[in-house]
Amino acid sequence: MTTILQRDANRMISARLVDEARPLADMQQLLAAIAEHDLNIEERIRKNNKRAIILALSSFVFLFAGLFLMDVFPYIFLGIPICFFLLFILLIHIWRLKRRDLANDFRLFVTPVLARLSTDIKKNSLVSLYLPLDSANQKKHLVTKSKPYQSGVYHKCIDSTFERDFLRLDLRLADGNRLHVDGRETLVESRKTKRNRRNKYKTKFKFKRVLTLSLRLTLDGEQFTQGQEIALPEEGAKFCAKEGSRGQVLSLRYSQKLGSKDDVPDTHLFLKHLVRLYARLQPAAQAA
Amino acid sequence: MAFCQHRVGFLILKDCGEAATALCQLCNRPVCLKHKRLTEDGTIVCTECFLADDERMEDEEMEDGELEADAERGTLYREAGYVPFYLGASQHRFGNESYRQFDADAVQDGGDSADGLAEELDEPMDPTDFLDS
Repeated sequence: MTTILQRDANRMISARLVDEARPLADMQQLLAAIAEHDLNIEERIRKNNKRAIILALSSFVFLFAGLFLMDVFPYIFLGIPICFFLLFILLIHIWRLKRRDLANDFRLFVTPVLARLSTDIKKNSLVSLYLPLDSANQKKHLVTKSKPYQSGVYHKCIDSTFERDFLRLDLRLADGNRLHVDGRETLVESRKTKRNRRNKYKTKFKFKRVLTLSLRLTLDGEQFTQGQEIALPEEGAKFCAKEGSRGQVLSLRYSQKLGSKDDVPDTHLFLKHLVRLYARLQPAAQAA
Repeated sequence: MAFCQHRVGFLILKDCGEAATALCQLCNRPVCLKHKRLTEDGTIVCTECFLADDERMEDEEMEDGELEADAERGTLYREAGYVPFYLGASQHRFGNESYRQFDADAVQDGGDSADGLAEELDEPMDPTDFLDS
């Protein structure tokens, strides 16, 4: 069983995508296996970064030691190219590891949300999840690319906009309602290039990530109906109620701006909006 | 045998249902081993009574995952203005809790509404609400 799960996890890590419908416990185990892999990669990157710093410092030590001890150890300068060679190998290794590193949305957002809702999800029902495990700044998600422009000391600036679906989550709840979450991600990458005093080109990247999350709650008409509106402000969220084919549907949409591409959506904010949807419900019997 | 009446869940509350091992000395709620807390003065309390003491919570480092989850749940309810539904069998309401009973009969009797409960929260607690241990 564990082997099958690990095999599935490896398949998803290779594809960099979770697109599965499984019982909750299975889904949680699967995400835990992927998280273990991700944490392991992050730990290896951290360790190798340390090693790279040590190697860089060692080459300086060889340089200074060589200046004083050249007569005693004539080959001491050989330590410098050896350090640089090892550093080069290590940097390639770090670059490879960074390519295998996964986005942290699943670990820091989806996993806590599923854990929080675990008792509310209908037993033995399937949890359907679509979640890319990579970053959005890839060619296939590119929507627009600005023409190069000048800004201050930067002689060439290009803004690229990437868009993609970053989350689809479908849950059957124990109270008969059905929750569907859609997430859309817009990533703006600003690449700024300047020439420094030594005539070298320096490029700086800046990311702005905007996530739009839509929560759709399809009510079990026998149990619930929409009640009165709550007085608390919705903090920029847009609410809408309509009659769907399966019953009344309450929707809430909100956006969250994040400073970097590695920032993850706020779990607390998501749960607060979900609770806000529930605050609008009343028992169908009470409405009758 | 008594069963733990700590409310579990997030969107809809229900009873924990595990075998109770103690009674909360503040609200008399039967609680299981998982939902029992011991205060510094040795009083056995339920998780909700433990969380209700603000002074104690300021000192608490929240290393207890269960406690942290319950505290966060309470914060989210307050921030969102949500009075949760309760789907459990128990008709008894303990001191510091508020929820909307999800029971057709109770509703027809004109029982619970979100507004009514919010007002109820502001009212001082009636000592007769407590059961003798």
